[in-house]
Amino acid sequence: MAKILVIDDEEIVRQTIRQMLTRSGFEVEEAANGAAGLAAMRQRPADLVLTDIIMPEMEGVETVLTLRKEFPHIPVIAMSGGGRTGNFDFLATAEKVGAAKVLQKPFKRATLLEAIEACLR
Amino acid sequence: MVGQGVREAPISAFESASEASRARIARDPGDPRSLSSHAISAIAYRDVAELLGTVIDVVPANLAILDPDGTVTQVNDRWRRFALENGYDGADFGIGRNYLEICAAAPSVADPVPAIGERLKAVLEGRSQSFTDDYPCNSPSERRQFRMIAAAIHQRRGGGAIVMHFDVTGEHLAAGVLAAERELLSLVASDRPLDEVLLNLCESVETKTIGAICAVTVFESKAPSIRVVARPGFPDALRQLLDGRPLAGLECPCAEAACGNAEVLLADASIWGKWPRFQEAMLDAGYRACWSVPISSPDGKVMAVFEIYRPVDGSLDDRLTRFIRRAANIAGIAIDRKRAAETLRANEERLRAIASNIPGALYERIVRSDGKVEIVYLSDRYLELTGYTPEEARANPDRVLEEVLGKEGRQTLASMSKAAISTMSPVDLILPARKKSGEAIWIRTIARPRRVQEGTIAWDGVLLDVTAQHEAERQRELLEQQLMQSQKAEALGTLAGGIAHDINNTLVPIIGLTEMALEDAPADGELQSNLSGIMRAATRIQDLVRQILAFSRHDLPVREAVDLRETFGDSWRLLKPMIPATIRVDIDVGQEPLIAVVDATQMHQTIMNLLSNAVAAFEGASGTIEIRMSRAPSSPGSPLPAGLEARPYAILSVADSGKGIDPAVLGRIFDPFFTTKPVGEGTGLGLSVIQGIVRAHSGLITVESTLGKGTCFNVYLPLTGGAGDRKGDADRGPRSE
Repeated sequence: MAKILVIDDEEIVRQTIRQMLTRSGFEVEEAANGAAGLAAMRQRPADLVLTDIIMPEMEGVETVLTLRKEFPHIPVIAMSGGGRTGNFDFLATAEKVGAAKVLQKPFKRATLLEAIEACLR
Repeated sequence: MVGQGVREAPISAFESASEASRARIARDPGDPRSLSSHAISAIAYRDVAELLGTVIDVVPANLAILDPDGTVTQVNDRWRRFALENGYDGADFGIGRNYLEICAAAPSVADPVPAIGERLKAVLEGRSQSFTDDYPCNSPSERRQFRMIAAAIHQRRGGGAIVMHFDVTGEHLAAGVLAAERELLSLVASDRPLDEVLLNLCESVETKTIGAICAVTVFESKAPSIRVVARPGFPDALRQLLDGRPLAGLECPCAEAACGNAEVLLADASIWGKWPRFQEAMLDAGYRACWSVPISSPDGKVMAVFEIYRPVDGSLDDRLTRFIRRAANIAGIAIDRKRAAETLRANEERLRAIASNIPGALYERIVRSDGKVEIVYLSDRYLELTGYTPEEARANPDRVLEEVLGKEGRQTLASMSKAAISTMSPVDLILPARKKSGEAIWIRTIARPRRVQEGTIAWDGVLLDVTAQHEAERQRELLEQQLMQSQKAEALGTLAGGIAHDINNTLVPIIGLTEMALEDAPADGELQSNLSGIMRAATRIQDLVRQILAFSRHDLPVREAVDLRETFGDSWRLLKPMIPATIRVDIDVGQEPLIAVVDATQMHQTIMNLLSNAVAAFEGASGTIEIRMSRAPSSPGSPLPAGLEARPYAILSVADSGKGIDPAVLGRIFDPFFTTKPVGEGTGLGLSVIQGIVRAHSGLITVESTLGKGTCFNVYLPLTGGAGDRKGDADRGPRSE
């Protein structure tokens, strides 16, 4: 089964997503920020990265850019609570820098699985 | 006494007197060239006679001594000279002739004999001591006045008289001139028409000279041509040469006098001179001399020329010359006064024209030390501005001012004016005012103080109707306030964005974990139902966050076809806990589905706002809120409100039995930032946002309110199946039943 790296600064969010994915048989690895996520990828690359956009340490958009550069064949899904309606449209920016899909938080499990399956297909 | 033989003169008065006395001595029988007593008395008599002859020659009068029957026995030197100068008949200068006969024959005396005959007789006969009589005695060129004094004397032959004729022309003229000057001055002072004054001047001079005619050539200030003012006898030929002609290039003495501002004497027109045409016209009209005297204004500008034309050559008598100069001065005053009056009138007209063109009322207002107010000037525009005529305002300045500005405005004006006087600086105030009709306006008054005398201040000012500008200013302030509010809203939006991010992140576990817990929970159990409740609430929070973000960023609404009754139901479930127990809520949403394409979140916002307003209307008191939802009746009997198309609408009405809305503010409740709530308790945006939402849905919101009875809001929303929708839209709606 595919391995998915979840990068989010909120532990409870990471845990929720982990549960959602493991229930469908995905292997899940977690990282608390962009830098940690990149380090994990370099050590043992995942099949797909799910990353938050607004985070401390390495910012999400930068993370997406670096991932796309270093691992051009690994799809990245960006997610954000700020979504499309804040002062800055984070998700649109993430799409522009190469995110395969974007997700507005909060989302239902079905929505998440649908996006992942579309990327891995 | 005829002119012949007169040429031998002059004869010495002394000689004639001593000859006469010698003749008498010679005839004396007691004088055979001896120094007898007779001889001595004869010598004494001769001396007296000589002395008399000397005395009568120095008397400044034409003198004659008459014997008792009126025969002239002796005349003085002056008498002889007068006779010679005036061409009297006879070589004996009247000696030996009857005095009254001589007078009757005199060509220059009108008819003195009957007047003085009896009186002279009385003197000669010793019945009367003396008499005096004034009479005119003109020469061909000059008016003269003489005074006759006859006095009784005692001679050897009995009575007799001494008759003296004094030339009092100067005295007479002086009195006449004085009277004429007085008359002229009184005409000027009583502001008689200028021409009347000038004609009077001409007449005065004409009556004091013989055969003279006068004219005044006036240079009108406006017209560049000359105007001749003269009495009817003025020769047409001369008038034609002057009247209506431009001064420049005119060849005549008066033009020279005018241009040089100096008197010009044409002593004899018959001598070839500068003005041949004019001189010829003068001679044709019978005039030989012309004297022109310029009439100047006080600042030295020639305004007219006085002219006197005489049939004889030479200059005028000094006394008359002086009179004419003085009269010219008086005429100058008259012309100057007339010009000043014309200037004043022109200035007044100009002021009136300016005042009627200025978009405001001009005024001059005087405030005396005792507080008395006088409106010296108020332009006609005051009527337009306030509805009061300037006359009304001037008659009752204080009352009208108070009626226009009100007590408060008047006091404000008074205190501002008082402050301005201390520094003599202008006042510029905008005050609310009321027209006579009751119409409310805003008046701007700009006035400058001027100290007229100690304690008295004159205010020169203008009153302007600035109602429109003031309204615009108010609108601008409102816009500024709105801008400030929108900046505040933007800041709030930024804040909301930050909060939304955190809430959304928090919702990830709530929704995600609940969802998975729901999967695990036994079906139809209590746990399942509770988790579903959490799920619904979490979804609501998610919607609310989206709504907050949408509000702060004006996102495009997400519209879908829904049954409005269900949307209402969703809102109601959230709002129900907010309603205080004192308020009863009656809900009737009917049985018929009301399918409309709406943004459900915005519908929630609308319902929430209307309901919270309804609750606020009770101000803590108890009452009832009625919520009705139905299809709008669209029969001809109950037409839809104006502004709606002919199509099916749903009506949501929220009616409360609260305090109601003051009719004065009812028209403004949809204005942005209008709120009746205290500062900090309401943004005043609620209803304006609601109206925006309803309009964006092609709907309409109306309000009816009765103070003390309550308020009802009706929201009209177009139902699907209308002209603007695709057919069958309602059936395909995801939530349709």
